[in-house]
Amino acid sequence: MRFALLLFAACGVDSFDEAPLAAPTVDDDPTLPALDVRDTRLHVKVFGPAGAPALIFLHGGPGGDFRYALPLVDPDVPGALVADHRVVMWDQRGTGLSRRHPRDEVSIDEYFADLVALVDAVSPDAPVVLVGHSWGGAYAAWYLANHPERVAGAVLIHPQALTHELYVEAGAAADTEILAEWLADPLWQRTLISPEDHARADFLLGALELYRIPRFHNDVIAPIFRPGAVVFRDLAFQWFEDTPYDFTPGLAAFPRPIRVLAGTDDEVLGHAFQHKQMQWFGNAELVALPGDGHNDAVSGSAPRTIAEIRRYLEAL
Amino acid sequence: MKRALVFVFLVVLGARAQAGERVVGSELALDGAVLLNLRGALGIARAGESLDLAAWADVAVAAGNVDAGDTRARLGARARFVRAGRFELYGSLALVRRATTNTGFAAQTLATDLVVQPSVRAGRVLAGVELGVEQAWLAYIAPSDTYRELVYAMAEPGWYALPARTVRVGATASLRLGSADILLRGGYARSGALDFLPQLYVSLGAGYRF
Repeated sequence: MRFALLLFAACGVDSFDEAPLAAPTVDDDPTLPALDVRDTRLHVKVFGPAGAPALIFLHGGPGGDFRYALPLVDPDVPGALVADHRVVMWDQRGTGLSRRHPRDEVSIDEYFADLVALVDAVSPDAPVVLVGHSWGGAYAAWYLANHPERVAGAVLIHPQALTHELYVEAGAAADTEILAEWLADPLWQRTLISPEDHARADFLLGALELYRIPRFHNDVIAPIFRPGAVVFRDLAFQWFEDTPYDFTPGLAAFPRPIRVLAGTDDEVLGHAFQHKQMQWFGNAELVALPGDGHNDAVSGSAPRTIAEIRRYLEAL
Repeated sequence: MKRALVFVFLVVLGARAQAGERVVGSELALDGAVLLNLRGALGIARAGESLDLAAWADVAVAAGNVDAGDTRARLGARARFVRAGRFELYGSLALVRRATTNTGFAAQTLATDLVVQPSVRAGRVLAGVELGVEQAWLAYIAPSDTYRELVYAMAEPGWYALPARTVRVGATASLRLGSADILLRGGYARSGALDFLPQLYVSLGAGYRF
């Protein structure tokens, strides 16, 4: 195979490394803003005045990135969060423009340890506000339950199921016909481009991100820098499916109020589903976002979400 | 979710010629997308007991979503290399052209598909193991405008080397009934180390000889 690659290279045919179809990561492009945390290098971009209180956004997935949530740092909307907060947008381990890792270096424990280290790195002396969307909401819930002294407050937007039992229930709601185009097309694509390495696997997953997946009811397809196929495969797909996890111990004891935002149109993790999750919190308020699908709150409807977050911060 | 990701081939008509025979048939298969597969085969040589050679061609279109952008065409030959008592060893080699047009990109690949099939014959039944490797050697990939807008603006169309390899391991069994064959296949396929959707296949088919 190496000979074939050399032969093709001599004929001017590219390899997937030479002409990438997916965006370069922080290891490929040293000009990207990055933060070294533990054994990884994360794509981290900070918006807002230096020295202001830190607000850390946790994106969905696992396997997504923060690009779709950039409307949350719009400086021109009323009550802009970046006016008086350092909003830390970051791509989680192995996804977005952060460093790629082999499969044995991607696990839920690595994710937990990364978040602990990230919070300590960006705000060593003061607690932070966490804003998490979807998987990022569950990720934030795990952190505030286990490190309550480091969290000043949290807004969870369409948080992923906090227990495996509810995950299975949500999965049943998301189920769709096997021959749906968003599923059938990617299955065909891999016979033309095999997910053999990060470059190809991330490209294929990026193409999959462009499909409108039923029952989440997003108004628009959200942009993404570069999905992380290994993270999606081993965490979003495998770990959540197979692990009887429970992020709820400690949540009820969190001493400050929590705000949960959920769109009414999302049939999977929307407002109706979040009613079931409210039982785990000691002091939380569920706010409906009328007409929002799963991603709308952090993309198309971001100004309304910013206003809700602002109201929450002022009440803290 | 995982339930929906285990997919099954269903072949309603197959076609497998032996030397001196002509066969026509069609297949309907769930192969990532449902395939409507039209096949013709022609047995072209007979040399004693040891050689049984047939050429065949087929075209397939993904029919699950009536998706004419997802197609496959193959041109190949199949031979029996060994016959010793009940044991028979078959091999086939095909040139394969695949194409896809989807939301994220359009692509065409040129591949070879090599299959080895050690089998045992018992009367009218032939049962065996199927080992196959489809190696794509070249691909032309053109990311869509939507992909460049929403994912990676710098993705450019071009030729790529060694884009794909799919390995198949399975079992086959066929039953000859006069001019007809009934064929049963099943197994596992894998496309890449990071493939996250299991590919199990089962097929049931029939062909007509004349």
